Amino acid sequence: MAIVVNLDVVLAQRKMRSKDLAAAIGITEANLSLLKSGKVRGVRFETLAKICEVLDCQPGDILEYRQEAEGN
Amino acid sequence: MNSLSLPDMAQAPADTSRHHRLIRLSGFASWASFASATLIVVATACVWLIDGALADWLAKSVDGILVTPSPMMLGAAGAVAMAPIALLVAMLIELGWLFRLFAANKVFDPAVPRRLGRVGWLAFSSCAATVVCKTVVILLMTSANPPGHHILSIGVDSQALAGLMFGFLFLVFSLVMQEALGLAEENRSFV
Repeated sequence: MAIVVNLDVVLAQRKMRSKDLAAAIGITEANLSLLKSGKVRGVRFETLAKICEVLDCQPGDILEYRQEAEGN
Repeated sequence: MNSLSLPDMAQAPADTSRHHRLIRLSGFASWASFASATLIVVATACVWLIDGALADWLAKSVDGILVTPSPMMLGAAGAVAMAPIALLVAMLIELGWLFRLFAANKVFDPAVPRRLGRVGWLAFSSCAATVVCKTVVILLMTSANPPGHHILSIGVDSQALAGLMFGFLFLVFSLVMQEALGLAEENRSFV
């Protein structure tokens, strides 16, 4: 997918575990894992806002657009 | 498609009082549906097993019987009259299973639209069969009447029309429910 989720990177920078983030933003670890791997169809603004609040970052730090190579 | 319960929906906290009311009401409705089906089956069995009960029941439901029809005709009329009742019992049982799903908090289960559709078809068939079978029963019950006194009566009452419309309503609800299941599935892929 053209949108890449860099949540793992931000989590590592903040030295925070996925489990703690899931608890802090009120979603299940399974859903957070799906989000990290980019296997979700979308992210609610509400969830994104909570992630940014907890990780003290901007949506752009978490989500990145990458041009897909032709033929992919 | 997996079964989806109310709390899974849109990660919204379930309204507990409404949720409990749904479960309680559905539990009662399921029990009432199965009890009604059983009562109808028992009453029908009594009509067939008690000597003369079938003839009495048919005679009361049909006006204009001048000569009592032969036992074979009575049996045939009884069998025809049972068709809409059998469909009604099948509908009640299906309804009972549908309510049982709701009572088990499986509101967005893939089985719900399927069962709703079946309830619709059975309700529709039962009402349509009532109209047709009533005509046939009257014809059979007045078959022994002297010439010129045979009765052919075709009637659609408001109850039958209401039943037909309820059948359609359930059918449409089953389609709406399929749409809702699709939306729920899509909603679940959002975090």
